[in-house]
Amino acid sequence: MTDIAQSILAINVNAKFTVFAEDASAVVWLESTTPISEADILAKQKELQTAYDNNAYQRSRAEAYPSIADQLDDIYHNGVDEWKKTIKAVKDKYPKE
Amino acid sequence: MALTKVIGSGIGTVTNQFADGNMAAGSVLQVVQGGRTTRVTHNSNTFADIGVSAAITPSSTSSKILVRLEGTIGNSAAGNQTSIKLFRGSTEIGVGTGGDTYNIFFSRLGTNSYDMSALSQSVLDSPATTSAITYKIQMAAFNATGSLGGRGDSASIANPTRLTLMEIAG
Repeated sequence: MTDIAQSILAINVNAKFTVFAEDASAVVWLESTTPISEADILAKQKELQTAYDNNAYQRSRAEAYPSIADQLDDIYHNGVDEWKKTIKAVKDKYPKE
Repeated sequence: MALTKVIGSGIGTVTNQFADGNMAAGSVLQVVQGGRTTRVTHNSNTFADIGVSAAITPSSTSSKILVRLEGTIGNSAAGNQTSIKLFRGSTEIGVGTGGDTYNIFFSRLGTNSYDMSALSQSVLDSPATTSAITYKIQMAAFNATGSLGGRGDSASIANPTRLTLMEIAG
């Protein structure tokens, strides 16, 4: 889950703050940081979470691909066409929504 | 030697033998625990209160207070430092010595943004008072966002943070 801290920093990358118990209504703003409204923080959190959820296939593919060393070995021994089959199998397993 | 303090008027002089002032040195006279059960994140290299404290009133000026801090700690970016200071009132205690840059109660450097490390440190303090004293911690993150009681990069996990005070007979 995208947290309140990431949401604040997505709005103001220079913000200094403390967040208690993920409560966007009670953020302690530090070092003269201009406060950000709870509504703006929660809206940004929702936006970031949606983007994260939509990229689930990328994370799944990244975990499933063979290592670069194994891919190079695959190309050397079996050729590019065989390597493409290996990669395509992963892409097909985790399609882009 | 483990001792248990017995309280009761019906056991006469035995009660007096177990009065705080008669307990052997090293005996535990009282235990207090404070802390929080929710995650805190802090984005600043300035140390700040994070809602973890406990108060105790020693029964003797010769008593020592064993302060134990336990929980989990993290940082939202790999290789960045999250540190904890311990205070008795407004006095910082329990610091390390000999560090070129940081002499602090506890510090953590992690490999990944999702790493959570055990936070465990203690100090045997000698407050030399019978007045109520409050121990608390402060946290700072040197780059990125420090977390106490959960991952640095996500709100998915919350762990308790416990600050335990034990009065030890001097």
